[in-house]
Amino acid sequence: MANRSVVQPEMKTTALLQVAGFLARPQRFVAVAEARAGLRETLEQAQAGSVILTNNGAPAAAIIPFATLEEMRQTVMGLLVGEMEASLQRTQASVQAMPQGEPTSGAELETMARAAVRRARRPAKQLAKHRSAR
Amino acid sequence: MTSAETPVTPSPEPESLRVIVDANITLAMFLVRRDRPTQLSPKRKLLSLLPQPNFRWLWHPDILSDYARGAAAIEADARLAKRAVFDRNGFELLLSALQLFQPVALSATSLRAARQRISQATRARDLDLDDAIYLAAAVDGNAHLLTSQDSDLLSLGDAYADVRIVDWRGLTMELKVRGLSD
Repeated sequence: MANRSVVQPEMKTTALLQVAGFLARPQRFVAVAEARAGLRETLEQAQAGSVILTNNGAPAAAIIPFATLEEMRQTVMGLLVGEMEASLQRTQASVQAMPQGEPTSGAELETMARAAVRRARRPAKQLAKHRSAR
Repeated sequence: MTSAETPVTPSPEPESLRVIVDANITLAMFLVRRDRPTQLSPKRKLLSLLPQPNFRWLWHPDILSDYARGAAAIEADARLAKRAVFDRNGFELLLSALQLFQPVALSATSLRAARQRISQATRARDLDLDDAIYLAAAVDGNAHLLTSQDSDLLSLGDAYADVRIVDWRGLTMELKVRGLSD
């Protein structure tokens, strides 16, 4: 498998621009009591830009459209996946600086990893057995 | 409350491919070979799908615990350490990425049924009830696929309830069919 970015750049850019565009819109500050009295209107205002609910004059919470929340989620996902790729590249660089390890294959590695995972499960099972016996 | 105001639980796109991925496939993505560091597991393909709205990797806290336990075991394995390095940071980032979406709400009934199914299918010597969490989460999460490299899970047959059980090859074929892979 080639060592290349796994995140489509255009997708990440689009999501970032959408979120940035929303955050760039003017914010409205509304007291909680006022927002409660006109909840429907407050929700409509949130479509145009985030509404910050204030409690005794201090910002307490924000109302944003659900679609924007989902765009934020996708944006963070894209950033996390990009960082996974960066982390991999750092690990590869550190491995290249190490003495070369024993020759292996992808299949052999996976078999060994599978055995390690299975061994890791045993103590939990033994513990469960021990608990049920008591 | 009028019918127009009835709350709607947000759900992924109906055409989303919903999958449960076992620990072996998940952890293989983060192994960097010491003899050939640039030779990566083809399973990393799954990472590129995470931002796609039509792909959903389902999870439950017990599944993440199983991944984490496996990761610790891999790091502690001396034979593996001579051959590969585990990208711990990348793995932690994956756990965070998965948790951006809500976990599967698991029912005791599904878990009990899954344990029973595994008990029936597996020789007592090899009984691994930890696999049940994957089956139960697949059912309760309305997964299309459970993908595994585990012989016990694969030995359950092609399907459990309405969930297809496939190995990595089966998953890649499904990804191609759905246009999620070349």
